[in-house]
Amino acid sequence: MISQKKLSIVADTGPLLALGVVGRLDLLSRLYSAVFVSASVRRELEDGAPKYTDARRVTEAIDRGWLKVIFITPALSEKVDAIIHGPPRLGRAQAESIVLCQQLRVNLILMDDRQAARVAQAAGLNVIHGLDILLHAARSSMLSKAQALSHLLELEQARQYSEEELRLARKRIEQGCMTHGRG
Amino acid sequence: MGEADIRVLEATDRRFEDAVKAYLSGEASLGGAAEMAGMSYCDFREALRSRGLLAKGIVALQ
Repeated sequence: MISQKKLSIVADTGPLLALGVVGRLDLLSRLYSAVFVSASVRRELEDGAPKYTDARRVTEAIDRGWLKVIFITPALSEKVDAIIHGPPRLGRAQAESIVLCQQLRVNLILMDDRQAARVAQAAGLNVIHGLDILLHAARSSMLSKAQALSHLLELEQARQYSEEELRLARKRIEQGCMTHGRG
Repeated sequence: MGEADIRVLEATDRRFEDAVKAYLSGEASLGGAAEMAGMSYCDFREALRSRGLLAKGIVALQ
């Protein structure tokens, strides 16, 4: 298990939106010393913000300043392009998130997408799942068991994660077993 | 709606279908498939979610 205390993390769009769905982006700022996003992740969120509440909540967190936007340096742009073309083919924001970890020498990435997570792991990164944030927060008493279970219900209603993943997360919260996935 | 409009719609549908197939088969991530479809990440994600397909390409909690 990775202790997230005092660690920095780079966040991809998907899990940020999931935390936006439940209105608990604050957990990231409490669990990690710094949370970074790439400029392309910000662009994806800004594109979605006029239509989607979850995206708007994340852009508000960026505006407040604790979610820090970092541009990829020109020297690493070729690396981004290579990752995009794969295989598997990734989105620019996902590729930038992976390369941003290397640029910042951050070893932890918040990412839900199966294919992108595989590429991140192959690059030597530890991948944290969006649901892991709720599990960590419950373990750290930032969320009560009832709150954590309520957020899982919201994510279930939003069809953000599979029933199997949510069932597993629910079981862990109920049993007080808060291990996270990869890494 | 003219024939040209219909052709554009059909091409758009095909592009979307190809992107969904690429996402579900693992050839592309969600972001990659959204770009293939020519859609924003959030719109593509919403389109998948409304069809009950979003979670198919999300990494399993271990």
